[in-house]
Amino acid sequence: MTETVSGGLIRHGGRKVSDYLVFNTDHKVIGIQYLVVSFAFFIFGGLLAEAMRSHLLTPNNPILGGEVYNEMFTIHGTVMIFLWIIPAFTGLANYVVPLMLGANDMAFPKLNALSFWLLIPGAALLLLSFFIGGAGSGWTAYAPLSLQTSNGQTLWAISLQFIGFSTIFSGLNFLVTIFNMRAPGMTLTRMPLMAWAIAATSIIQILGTPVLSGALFMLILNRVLGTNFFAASAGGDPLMWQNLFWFYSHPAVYIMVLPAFGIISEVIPVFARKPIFGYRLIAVSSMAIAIAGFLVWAHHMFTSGMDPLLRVPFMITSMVIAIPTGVKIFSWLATIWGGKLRFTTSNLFALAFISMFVIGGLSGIFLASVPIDIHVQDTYFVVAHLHYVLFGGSVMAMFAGLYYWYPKITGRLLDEGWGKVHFWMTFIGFNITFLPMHVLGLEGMPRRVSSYAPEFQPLNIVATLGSFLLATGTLPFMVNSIVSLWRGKVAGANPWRALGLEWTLPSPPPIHNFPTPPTVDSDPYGYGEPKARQRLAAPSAPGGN
Amino acid sequence: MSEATPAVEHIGSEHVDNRKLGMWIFLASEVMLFSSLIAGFINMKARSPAGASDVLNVPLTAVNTFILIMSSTTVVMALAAIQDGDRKRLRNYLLATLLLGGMFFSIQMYEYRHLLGEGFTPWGSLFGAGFYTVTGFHGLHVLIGLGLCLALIVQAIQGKITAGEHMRVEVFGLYWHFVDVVWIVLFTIIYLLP
Amino acid sequence: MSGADPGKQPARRRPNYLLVFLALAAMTAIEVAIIYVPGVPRVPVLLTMSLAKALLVILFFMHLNSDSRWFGFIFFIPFLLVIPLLLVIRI
Repeated sequence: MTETVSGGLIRHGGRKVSDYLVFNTDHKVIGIQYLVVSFAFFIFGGLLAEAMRSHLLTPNNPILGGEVYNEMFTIHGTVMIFLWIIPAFTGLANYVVPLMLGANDMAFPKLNALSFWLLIPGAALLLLSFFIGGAGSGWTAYAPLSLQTSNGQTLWAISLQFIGFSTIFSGLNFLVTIFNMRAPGMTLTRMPLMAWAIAATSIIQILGTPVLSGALFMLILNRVLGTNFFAASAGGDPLMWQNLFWFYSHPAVYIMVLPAFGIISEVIPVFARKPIFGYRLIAVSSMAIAIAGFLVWAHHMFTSGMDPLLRVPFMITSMVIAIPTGVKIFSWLATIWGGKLRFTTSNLFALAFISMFVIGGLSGIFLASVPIDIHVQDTYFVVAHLHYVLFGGSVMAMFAGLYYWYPKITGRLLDEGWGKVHFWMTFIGFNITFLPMHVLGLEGMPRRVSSYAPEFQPLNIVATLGSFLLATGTLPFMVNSIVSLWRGKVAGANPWRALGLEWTLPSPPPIHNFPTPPTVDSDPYGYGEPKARQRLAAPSAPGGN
Repeated sequence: MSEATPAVEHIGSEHVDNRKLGMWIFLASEVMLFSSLIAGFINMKARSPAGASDVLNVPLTAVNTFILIMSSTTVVMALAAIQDGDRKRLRNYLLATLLLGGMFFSIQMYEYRHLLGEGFTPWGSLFGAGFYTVTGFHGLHVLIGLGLCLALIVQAIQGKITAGEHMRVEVFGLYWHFVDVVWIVLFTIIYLLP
Repeated sequence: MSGADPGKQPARRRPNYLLVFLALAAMTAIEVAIIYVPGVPRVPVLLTMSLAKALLVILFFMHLNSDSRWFGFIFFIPFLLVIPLLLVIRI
């Protein structure tokens, strides 16, 4: 079933490379397809960022004219959100969640493959929009600017529809899988927290994305057919675009971070050798974030001219939503406390996540306050905040998850030495890039500008140098992940001695996962408990429990 | 519709069929899509002068509403038929649903053509923008439903739907009823409310 | 009375679909008639009736009345989320 070719690619059940290039319904193939494609877009989005940061070394750089610069930050944002982080987490979850649940595939395998393949036209249209130009209104595409930009904007909107449908179907698939396809004995309270996180993410995807879709349809029709939904000059309502857009896009940030929370909940107990603290707290807080996330959106609109009185409830909800996340942070800290820490690369990224996300969360609380937001809206303070939560948070967690599950997916371990190089370059480079931006924003440097007042230059130079370190730091990871496919240490079924169901299968797993459905009698966090010790002590037989 | 791994393979907290659960979740997402479009409509109507909706043909649309409600009834009768094992009545009720749904769609097209002829266009007024967008999307959903209904009729004739395996009829019914519910709401807020 | 799918909940009593249909038809007729009658508060009456019609279809044609509670949960939660959206857009 599992052939190991020493010194070569470890194949499972004779999968060929071509299996990964076609419409294949195996969740493991789809997961890898998602991961590879999304990572390619991470690089693309990163290159756009580097171009912008290089341009910003001098305050009045003529190299990137205003139009081009606008399109660059638009595509950077759109790509990083819709073609990197969301599909990357989807891919990782696709691979890992059915295994963690003891299932042999997702509930709707063909729909799953469709979800992946819908990304392809979406991505193609997005790239096309970049190259023909015109999508230059930010990933937020506010009217009236987005009504006036040229054709690339329409392509941008259509591309997001494809990507949106992809995420809706994917969310649907995960929810049915998690609800209906758990192994015998796996009650909801014995389910891995990653599954809870993905369930919460899926709820947001299903309920939020359609609203964006409606808004995008209205935008497209406004541009193409002249239906003046958002055109103020014709009596339309530009604020309605913002409301509909942010009604999705705020919950969308939880789509981007809840899977990260799930990964951290999986990784920390393993490398602290301790049961997770507050299982139910973490599970319930994930659901709380999913629902409450729909009630905060107008905090992106405090300076839009919306009814001033309406800002107060949104300020309150935006502060309250910090609470469930705070619950998680304390639970993870309590898990680490008194544990026997192993500083694997995965764990380093997980620990960095906790601290970086807290910083991002703190700047978020500042932004939630209307009086503060009025001064820092659309400044680099917001850029700092969003990158601390999305890069310092989500991307670090993504790497934690990749280093953790890479051995399960490929059968070999990533090199830990190069992993640490990757980690430190990323961690230091990231902070040098984005920490100064808090100051830049407070001092008044606006965001989304291709030229700026000269007094901001020193910190811009610092940020750019940091970004070079950050970008270079990604190279060791890329080389490591490819070279280790052939040269990495053979991982075996359970290199981390972890308790999840996925670690009872060979690495990589057989094509059809579990030959017989496993039975489960506890949650997968009982490190140090007698039952767990027994399980981990037994030699892991391929295909057995 | 049924390519899922067996729904009763593992013990969940409750036995619900994968496909039925999937359809209800899908309908939840459709609620959100139509809410977004309805919000657009309500906003556009509020920004329009009084009497903007006078151009609409209420009696004709009332009849159309009645037709759609009838089609909802025939589809649930089709489900009841196959639950009782009656494959012929299943086929007939599905045909009736297709016919009635087709009538609804045709009358909608007729009204669109008439309205456009009167100069009531999507680009000509805010109310027009809202009207055509939300009813247009509803019409699209009807069209898709007709396609699914046709596919079911073919399968029914081929004998693929039985008393023991007819989840696809129930799942289609859920979709069709939802399209009906959306219309019930749209009919009221577009045609009847002042 | 109703044939049960393997693995479904115990057989449920089938609603009288014809009766539901008649109720829906009657309410539609009343709704249309009302707009021609002066003095009737159209908005509350029409909204209530359309809500009632929708519920009839949802509860009886879609069997939400007799099926798993989860379906009701899944279907109705979105409406709660939609209310703030509609309020903010119109305020």
